[in-house]
Amino acid sequence: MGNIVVSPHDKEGQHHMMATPTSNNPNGGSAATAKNKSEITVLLLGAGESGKSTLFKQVQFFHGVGITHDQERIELIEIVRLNVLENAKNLVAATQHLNIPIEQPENRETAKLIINSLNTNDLEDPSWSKRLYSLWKDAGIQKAYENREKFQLYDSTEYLFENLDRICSDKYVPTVVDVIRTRTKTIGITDMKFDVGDGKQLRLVDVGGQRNERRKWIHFFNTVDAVVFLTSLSEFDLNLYEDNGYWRVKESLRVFNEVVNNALFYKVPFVLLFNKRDLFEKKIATKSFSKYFSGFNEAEEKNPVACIEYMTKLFLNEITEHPLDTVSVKTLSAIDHDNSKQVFEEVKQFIMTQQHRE
Amino acid sequence: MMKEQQPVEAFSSKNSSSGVCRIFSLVVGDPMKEGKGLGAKTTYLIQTEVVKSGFPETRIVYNSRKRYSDFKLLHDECRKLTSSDFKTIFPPKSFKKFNEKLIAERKEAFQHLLLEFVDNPVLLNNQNLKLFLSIPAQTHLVPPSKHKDIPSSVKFKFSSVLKNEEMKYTFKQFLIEEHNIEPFEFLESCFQIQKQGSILIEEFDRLVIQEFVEHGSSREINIDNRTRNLKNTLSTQTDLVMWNGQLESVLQPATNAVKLHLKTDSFPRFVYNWPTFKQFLSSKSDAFIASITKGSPDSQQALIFV
Repeated sequence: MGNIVVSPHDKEGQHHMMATPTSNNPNGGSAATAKNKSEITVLLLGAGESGKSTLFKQVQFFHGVGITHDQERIELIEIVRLNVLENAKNLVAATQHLNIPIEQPENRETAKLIINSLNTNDLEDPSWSKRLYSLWKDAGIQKAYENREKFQLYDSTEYLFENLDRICSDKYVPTVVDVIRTRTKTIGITDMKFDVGDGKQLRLVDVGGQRNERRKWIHFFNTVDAVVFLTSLSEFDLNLYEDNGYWRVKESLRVFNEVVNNALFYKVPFVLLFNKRDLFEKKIATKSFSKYFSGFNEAEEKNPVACIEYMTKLFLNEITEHPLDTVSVKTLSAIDHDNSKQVFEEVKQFIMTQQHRE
Repeated sequence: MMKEQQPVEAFSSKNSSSGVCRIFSLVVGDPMKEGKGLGAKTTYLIQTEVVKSGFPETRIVYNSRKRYSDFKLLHDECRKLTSSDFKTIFPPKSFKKFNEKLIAERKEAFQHLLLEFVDNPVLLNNQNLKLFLSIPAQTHLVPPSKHKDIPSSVKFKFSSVLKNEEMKYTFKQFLIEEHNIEPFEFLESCFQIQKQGSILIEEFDRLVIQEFVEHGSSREINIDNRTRNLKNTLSTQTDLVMWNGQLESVLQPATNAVKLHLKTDSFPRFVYNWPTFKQFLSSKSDAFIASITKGSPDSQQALIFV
């Protein structure tokens, strides 16, 4: 984790993820032909846990692509419950690593069961709601939770534990918020087409964000009409899932640099979304922001606008090749349906206007 | 005319104005003779069930009654709009208006025609078509999903892609399309090694660690930092060979993680969104489908897009 201002050309050698396009990609800058295309391909890019799939799910929902298949719904129940168990396991494991004992003996019993035998079907029994909630409220677990920047934990932990009484029941049906809040790590590349009116289709491409996944992004770079790059505002105190010794902000900046300056995207409208604004505002209220950025004025660290402005500068400084007038910066809270809808609408407008200028 | 079924927590409670609905089923039925003498006519009931976006979704059924001449008008208009013919031939005029066989044939033809209309992106949101179906004008319709072959009670088991050879092959094709074959190849390699019962540590290092696990390895899998450290477990071993018991304890955290990712992320998309899987299934016998699913398949319901 670094108390540093990241320099724009910081290459750590071995983690080079995307080959810079060379002459074997002759049709670079496809936006020139995009004006009259009936299909617009938009890539959602960003490092791991920046919210790409959350936005993807929101876009699916507000374009009427929902869940019809009863079985798919039942599978979602399992995925939500798996999330609960994974969160519980991670917290229990953290108490071990951080050497913070779970205080109440009955909670220790629960912890043991979680690690050894509990599975998603068990959670149909409402008694687990009480037991898991009691574990969650244990002083030891809460202390570990306060120190969650020291290990890997999902953003939705608190939400899931606060909704256990619904989830631990044989009548449980996931709500849309549950589905949005559930973390499923995306692996590989997936896409979906949406009708956006005027006889045009939007093809949205969602990808995995971890280092190994980013090597796969290149497959789509040739056919892109716009890039939406997400980064998490609330990751300033966190290290990577795939590399515990590496600061997430540094990684995001590095990935952003490689994407935004990629020659294939020179002519492509580019949107930078600062996601998780909601979490970020909560976080800076209790945590020091300036501790992580030596160039930032400490007196301003409780002011979200000043912090976001600073982050914006940090990212825009990375842009060396891409024309700045085709870059748009916005903040987002992807778990919020209305906000996602509004921001995505603005993104769409921006992309369309840029294409008309061509 | 309109009946709502369980409007449970509709998705956009805050912005109900955005009526995005997917057509779920469209059935023409219940021919009925109305009127007497020269004014007598046969009307057909059209029931369109739509799914209003949200989760859980709301189902709404719209009912409308139309006669032959109404269908004719709509058909002519749709043909103009698409400037092409439809696969279904419009039933010709006939003097035996109340012949039962004729009515049954017309009913069938009308249904196929309407299905063709709603399947056509140009016509789907046409106001006259909506009016015809009694669907409110402000409703934005999206095409029916194409999953026609799977009854909704069927549950596909993830384990089937590990056990059943044909499923495995199909799933691998899907993963290749999603640029995500590495985790599956990792599982296969681990399985292969376990089948052998033992492996030289050196070989294990070359075939598994350097191939799939290490940062930057050529087929690197997506696992968290702690799980990745299975190499540490390995370096504490002084033996040259690893035997089955050891193998399992070394590999299990990583294989479990990889299986979980495939199961929760890739597998649902494979089953519910991948057209090739539907084609694959449609060529299979009921016995095969039963072998890869839990529970018994529903009796196939006619013309429901599930």
